[in-house]
Amino acid sequence: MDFEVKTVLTKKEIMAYQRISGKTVQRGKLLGSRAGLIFVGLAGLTGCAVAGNLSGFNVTVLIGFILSALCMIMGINWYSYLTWQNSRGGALGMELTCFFVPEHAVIRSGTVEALHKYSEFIALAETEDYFALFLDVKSGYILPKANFLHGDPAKFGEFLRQATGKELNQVKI
Amino acid sequence: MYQYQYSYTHQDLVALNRAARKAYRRGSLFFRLAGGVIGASSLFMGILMIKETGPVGLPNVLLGVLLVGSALWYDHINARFSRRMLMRGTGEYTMTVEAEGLWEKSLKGESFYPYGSMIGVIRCRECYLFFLDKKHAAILPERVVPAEERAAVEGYLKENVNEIKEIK
Repeated sequence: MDFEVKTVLTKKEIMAYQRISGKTVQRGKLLGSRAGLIFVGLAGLTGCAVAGNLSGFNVTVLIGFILSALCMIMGINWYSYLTWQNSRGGALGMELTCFFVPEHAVIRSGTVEALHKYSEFIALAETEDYFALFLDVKSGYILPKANFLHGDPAKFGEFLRQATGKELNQVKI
Repeated sequence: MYQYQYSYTHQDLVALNRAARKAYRRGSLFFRLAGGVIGASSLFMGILMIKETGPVGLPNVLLGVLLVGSALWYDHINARFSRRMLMRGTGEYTMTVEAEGLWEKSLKGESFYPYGSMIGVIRCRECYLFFLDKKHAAILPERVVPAEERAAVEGYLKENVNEIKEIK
């Protein structure tokens, strides 16, 4: 059975990919980074407030306030930050057409073509609206279920499971 | 057709960042300069504060050193970020230079980049950089090309791409 999916990477897809990644292949790392940033931000703000009360609000305290606030904001909006970073990296607006045949997957973006054996994928995930295929913790593909041009999305999960020999993680985002 | 097998080194990624900055991301010069100026001011102010009031100026000195260092070693720092962004588990890359484009093979799949899909080809710090967009490129380092083959490869590339831009 063959499948064909067209993906246009909008902010919504990039954000969804980051969230799925954060709940599967990057679970510990993203949680740690996020918690770390919020903790550093809180500690910095507290430290700056104490230092400001003790020695007055000078430039050093102001710089500390700004950097701590930035850490807090990044930690709280972590997925938005990652989406912004990936969008800047060139992912935004990218059009991918993905073909899945029993032997391999072919991903086309314009005239550039990538071919992957199923054994190259390290993890799979499924949400209500998407499938995600990970080549490593930072790279992969997101396939919207609504964009299947050929094949039934309901059967795609089983196809992936058999082709890769990997479990399909069910994720809520 | 020419085929080479190699891994990317830090110097290859420095060349990539340097070429991208000079050819496509000239705005980064503003941030580099701004970082340098703010860093130098912070450093200067921190040193003055330490002289007058003691260790209260230390954060300024640290911030200054960080910003001045970032401005001076901008490409090296970006190269480290590029290294972190590289896919893991690829093993060595096998690059095949063909008349129509490049085949890049690794343990994580194979990709074909036709010359027409590239926004430019740049030679910088003994690397050929095939830019797919302003930030991403396939790199062919000259060190992997045997010395006696280099002229032939350059000629072959010049035949097939519009222009090879030189950036020092």
